[in-house]
Amino acid sequence: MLDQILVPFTDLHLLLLIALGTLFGVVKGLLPGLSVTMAVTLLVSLTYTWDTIPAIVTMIAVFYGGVYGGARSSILINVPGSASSLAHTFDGYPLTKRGEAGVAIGITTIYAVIGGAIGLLCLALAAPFLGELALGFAARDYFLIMFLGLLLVGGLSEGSMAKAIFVAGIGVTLGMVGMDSLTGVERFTFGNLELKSGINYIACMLGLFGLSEVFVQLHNLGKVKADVIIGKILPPLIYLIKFLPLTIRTAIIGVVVGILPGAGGEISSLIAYDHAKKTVKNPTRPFGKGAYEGLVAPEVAVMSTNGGAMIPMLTLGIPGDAVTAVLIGAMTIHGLKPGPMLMVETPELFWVILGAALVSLIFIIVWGLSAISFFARVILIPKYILMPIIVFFTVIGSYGINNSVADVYWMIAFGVIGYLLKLYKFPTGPMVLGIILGPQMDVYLRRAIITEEGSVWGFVSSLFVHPISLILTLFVLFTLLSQTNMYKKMTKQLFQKFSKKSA
Amino acid sequence: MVAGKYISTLLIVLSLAVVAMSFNIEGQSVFDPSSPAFFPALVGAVMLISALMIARRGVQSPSSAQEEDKAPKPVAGNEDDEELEKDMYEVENITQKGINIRLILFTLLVVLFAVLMNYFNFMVLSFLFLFGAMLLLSREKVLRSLILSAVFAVGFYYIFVYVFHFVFPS
Repeated sequence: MLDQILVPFTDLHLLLLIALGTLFGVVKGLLPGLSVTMAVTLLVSLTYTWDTIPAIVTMIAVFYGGVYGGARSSILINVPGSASSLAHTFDGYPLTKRGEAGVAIGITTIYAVIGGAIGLLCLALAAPFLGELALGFAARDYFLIMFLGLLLVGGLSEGSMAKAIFVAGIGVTLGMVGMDSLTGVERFTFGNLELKSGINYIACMLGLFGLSEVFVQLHNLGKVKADVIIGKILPPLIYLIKFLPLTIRTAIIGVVVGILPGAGGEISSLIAYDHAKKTVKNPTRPFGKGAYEGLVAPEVAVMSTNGGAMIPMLTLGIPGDAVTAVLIGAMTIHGLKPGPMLMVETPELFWVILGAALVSLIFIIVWGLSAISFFARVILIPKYILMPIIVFFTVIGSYGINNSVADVYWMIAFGVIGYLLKLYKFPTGPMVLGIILGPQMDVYLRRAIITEEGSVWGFVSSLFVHPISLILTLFVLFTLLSQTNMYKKMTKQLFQKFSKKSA
Repeated sequence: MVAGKYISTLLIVLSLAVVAMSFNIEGQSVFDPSSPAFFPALVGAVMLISALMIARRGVQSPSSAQEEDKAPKPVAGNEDDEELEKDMYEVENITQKGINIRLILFTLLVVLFAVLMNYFNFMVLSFLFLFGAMLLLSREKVLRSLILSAVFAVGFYYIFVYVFHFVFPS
C-alpha cells in the first residue's frame, strides 16, 4: 500500500506531470467562468492516447489544482473562479481591499492543503471498507444509489428541481442511444450506423462545459478592473492552533457533502461558511469585513470535498459531482471499471491516485505561495485572447477522441444546447450525470426486475425487505418528499416556532 | 413570456417524442419491464411530468433572467459595504443585437474551423481560426491578434503532436 502511494513521489515522470497538471489547474481555476470540470474534460480527450496511470494522475492534479485556483479570483477581483469559490468572496475580497491579498492567498493555500489532506485521509480509511461493503450490493441497490444521485443533483441544482430532472432525463435518453448492452437491441439510432456505438460523452461534455461557457462569456468582453496590493503572504502561526477546531469541523462538512452523490464544493463551502459564522464567537474581524475564519472554513470544506467525492466514485462507481463524473468517464476510457471491482482488480491504482492527490497538494503550496503577482496578472488576460484559445482546445479535444470531425460537430451541437440551457436557467450538470449514469441505471433496473422473475411488484417489495435497499429507498423517498411544497412549508413553520421559543 | 411558452411547448414535445420513440423500438414492448424499451419510456414519462410542471410555472425568458441577475443581491456578511459588490468587470458598450451578431459569427467561425479541418493544413487553419476569432472579438487590435495567433498556432501544433501524440488531418 505504502509503496503504491509513494509511486507518484518517486517517479520523476509522474512528478513532472503532477506539477504541470496542478499548475494548469491553478491557472484554469483562477480564470473566472472557466470551470474545473471543463479543464478536466479537456484533459480527458487530450490524454486519450496516454498510458492509464500518467493520464489519471494528471487529471487528479488538474482537479485539485483547479479547485484550489478558483479561490484566487474570488479574493483578488471579487469574481468567483468557480461555483465552489463563491463563499471566498465574502471575506477574501474585503481582505484585498485592505491591502492584505497576500495573507488571504496564504491562508487559502495553507488551509487548502490541510483540508485536502483530511479529505484524502477519509478516503483512505473509508474506501476500502465501503468497497468491501459494496461487493454485497445487489442490482437494485446500485439502481437506487444512481437514482438518488440524480435526484440530489436535481434538488441541489440552481433553479427548480423539475428543470434539473428534465435535463437529467434528456441526458439519460442520450446515454441510451446505441446498442443495448444486455440484448444488443438498437435504441434511438434511426438506422444510422454512427449512432449504433452511441453518442460520445466526451464530445458532449466538452460542448456542455467548454464551448457553452465561452458563448456565455461572449455576452460581455469587458476587461477585469483590478488594482491589487499583495502585501505579506503568511498569517501568524498562532492562527493555525486557533483555527484548528474550525478546520476539523468544516473538513467533516466537506467530506460528508462530497460523499453525497451530486453535491460538490459549491454546497459544502457555503454550508461551512454559514457554520463558521454561527459558531465562531470572536472572529479576527467581523464576517464579511475580512475575517480570516471566513476564508478558512470554505477553503477547508471545498478541498476536503474532493476526497469525499472520490469515495463513491472509486468504491461504487458513482460520481460525487460533475468533475468526478468526468473522471469516471476517463477511467472507463482507459479500460478501468470504477466501482467495487476497482479495489479488487486494481487496488494499486487506488493508492496511486491517493498518492498523486497528496503530491498535488504539495505542488499547491509551491505554486500557491510563489509568483503571486504573476498569477494576479493571469486573471487580467483579455477575453478576446482567452476565448478563441479555449474553443481551439475544445475542437482539438473532441477531434482527438476518434480522430473524427463528426465528434467536433457533436461538440458544437452540445455547446449550443448548453448555451441555450444556461440562458434559460436550466442546469447542465444533470445532463452529463444522466448520460453517464443512465445506461447503467437501465441495466441495473432490468437486472433487478429479472431477478424478481420479471415482476415489477416483486421488485418494489424487494426494496423494503433487504436492509441496505430499505435504507436507500428511505433516502430516495425522503429526497423526493423534501422537494415538495408541503414539506418546505412544514419545515419553515417548525423553524419559525423554534426560533420564537429560543428568542 | 412568448419565448417561455415556446420553450415549454418544446419541452413537452421532446418528452412525448422520447415516449413515442420508446414505443417504436423494434420488437420490444414498453410494458415488459425486462425489455430495452421499458426504461426509456419510463424516462420519457418522467420528462413529460417535469415539462408540464415547468410549463405550469412558466419558463423565464433570458431578458428577465438577466434583469433579475442585475438586481442587487445581498451577499452574506457584507450587506452594508456596497462598494464591495461592484462588478469587477468593465461593462462593455454593446447592444443585445451586437451580442447576438457576435455569437452567430463566432459560432459560424467554429463550424467553419470544423468543416475545413479535413481540407486545410492544420497549422494554417488553426492560425486562421485564432486570428479570425481574436479579430472578431477585439475588433481593433490587428497586429497583436496576428502575432498571438501565429505564436499559439505553431506552439500548440508542436505541443499536440509531440506531447499529446495527436494525429491531425493532413
